[in-house]
Amino acid sequence: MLKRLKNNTGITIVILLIIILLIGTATMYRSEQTMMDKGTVIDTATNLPAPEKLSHLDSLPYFQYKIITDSLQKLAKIEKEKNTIHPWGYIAGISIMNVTGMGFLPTFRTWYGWYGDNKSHFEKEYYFSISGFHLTPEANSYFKDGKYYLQRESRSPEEISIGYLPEHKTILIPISSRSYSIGMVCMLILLCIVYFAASYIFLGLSINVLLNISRGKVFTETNIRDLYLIAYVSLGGFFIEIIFPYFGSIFAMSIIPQGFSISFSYLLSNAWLDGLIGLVVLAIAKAFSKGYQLQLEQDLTV
Amino acid sequence: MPIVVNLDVMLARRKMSLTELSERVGITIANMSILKSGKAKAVRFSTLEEICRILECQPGDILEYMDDADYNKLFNK
Repeated sequence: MLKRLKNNTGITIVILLIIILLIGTATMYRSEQTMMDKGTVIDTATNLPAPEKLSHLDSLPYFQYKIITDSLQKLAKIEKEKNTIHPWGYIAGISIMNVTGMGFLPTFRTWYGWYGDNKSHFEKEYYFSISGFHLTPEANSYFKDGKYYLQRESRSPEEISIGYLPEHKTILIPISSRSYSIGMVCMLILLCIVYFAASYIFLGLSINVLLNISRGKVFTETNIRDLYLIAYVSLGGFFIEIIFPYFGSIFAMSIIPQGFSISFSYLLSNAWLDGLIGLVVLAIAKAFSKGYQLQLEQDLTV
Repeated sequence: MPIVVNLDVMLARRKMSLTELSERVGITIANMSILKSGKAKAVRFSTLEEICRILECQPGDILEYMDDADYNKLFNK
């Protein structure tokens, strides 16, 4: 059986991908179950966990009650904006993050002042980001007054040195503006190379194969080589997307606090399409390879 | 492949050129050349039948099996 698998790379890759898919699904199911077990009620208006006890101001006239609640809501909104990290320049950051899971990210926080000065406030910060991280269900990370906190269940909040974007499953390691500038330039160069190579392989070679087929050159060595290249680059991309965040976590192990771990299901949900394209193109390349052999045999039949 | 094609021997015996044979059999000279040089991977029965009819011989006169040692010795492989 093992010998047979060794001889057939296609089957081996398929079996490996099925195993990875099963593990990913199981992880996703387990994390969902834990969330459900926790029984958190989400307030759909604010998209935040609803308070356990609601405050009542029954003794006030409605207009006074309305003024107070509006003011409280405005205050809460300002506090929220003040303590929310918005990714900025995310296009370049996220593009390379899609490939490697790592990137350099400028972020901003902006809010309108209310306490006396009615000015708008703007703060810009720079981060090295690694995506694919999730918090264990009992932990919560938040940003308050310029500091990052991690609260684990039944413990008081502890200050940590990294930020977290839960919607992007990305941890943010603060860096200086100079490091950001250097990193961003390197990343943009890398991005250009990656996009150029990807355009050539996925667009150029695909068009080349289609043109060859339309010219009647179907089962040729060039087509087979191009198809194999597309397939291996796709599969390589799939494995890089899965593996790189693990490298990133090893690199930043000393500053990532307990409670953060890599979400395999998230990585898989981002990378599955590359894996699927790679497998499909690999199957086509194998078929073309067989076709080429048959063509040769046919050409040498008299 | 240790199947040797003796088409050139039969052509010499019948004093016939490869061009004439290919024209009479109805296949291209290029394909007949592939058969004669032993590069062919397969021969259709219809082609073999025509060759045998024109050269008035048996398939065994054209095709011969040789073991690997003799074959390698003959072709210096």
